[in-house]
Amino acid sequence: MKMPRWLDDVLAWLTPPCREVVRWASQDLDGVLTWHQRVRMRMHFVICDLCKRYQQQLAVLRALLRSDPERLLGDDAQKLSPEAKQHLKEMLREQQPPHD
Amino acid sequence: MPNNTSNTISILSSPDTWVDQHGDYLYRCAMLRVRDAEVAQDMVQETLLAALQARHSFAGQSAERTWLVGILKHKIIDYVRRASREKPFENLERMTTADDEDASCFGDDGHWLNENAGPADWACDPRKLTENTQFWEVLRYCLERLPERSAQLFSLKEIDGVDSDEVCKVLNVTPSNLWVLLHRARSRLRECFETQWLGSRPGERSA
Repeated sequence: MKMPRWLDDVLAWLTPPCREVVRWASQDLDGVLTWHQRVRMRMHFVICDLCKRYQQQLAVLRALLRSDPERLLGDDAQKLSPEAKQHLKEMLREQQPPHD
Repeated sequence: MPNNTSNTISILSSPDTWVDQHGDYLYRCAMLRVRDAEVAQDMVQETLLAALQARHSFAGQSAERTWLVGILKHKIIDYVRRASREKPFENLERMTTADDEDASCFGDDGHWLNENAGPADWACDPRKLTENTQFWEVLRYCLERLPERSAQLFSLKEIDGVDSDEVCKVLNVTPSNLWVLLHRARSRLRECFETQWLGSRPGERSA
């Protein structure tokens, strides 16, 4: 739906510049925007697809980062060296009391 | 474990097995958060020692690995707290007022310079991303490229879900500095992800 030009102008006047909106988009994830900031941000999204996309991408990344810790770490990446493992085992044996 | 008949303990495998079964995993968990191989190894060592001390309190309600990771997270928080006391974030005051690194994307009026200065279309269904091995590689690659301190803060907040008040205390920063640091980290991660993701799939980039 194409909005009338004057409505674009009014919304642009009512809402902060994009530079500010991207900060708000981040703060919104932390739940620290006031309700009127959030309303102004939403109004901005009506006239600015780029900011809206930015906000959606932040939300997607946040959700995915928490979605699967095992896959985030990967399985072929860094490993402890055999020496480090041996050292850890010896240390645990030393610390372990002979009788529990 | 000699002379050990207690139920709670029998649920846990022997400390030797901890090293074999969970050592690498704990190490990767630590590396993602602290970045330094030596520190990460120390974190694993402290975790296993603490686990040994606390093995009587292991209630068997969670898997052994989950229990160990829980201990590791506390150790990492302690480490970040110490590091933040010894070497506070620098130039934070200036940073909150100075122009952000992404300033080049915006014109003098504060709006995106043009269509290309803003975020690109990732051209994928976010719900399907998690099934894609390459997605996880790209995400990990970009996390590893966050500056060290930024990565500590970001992983505590965004991966471990530590609440903001706690993160501020651990890192010894004010809430307003925290929002700036988080905005920067997210902005970098987003940009890196976009570049790598679209770069790795040139044929699928939308027009």
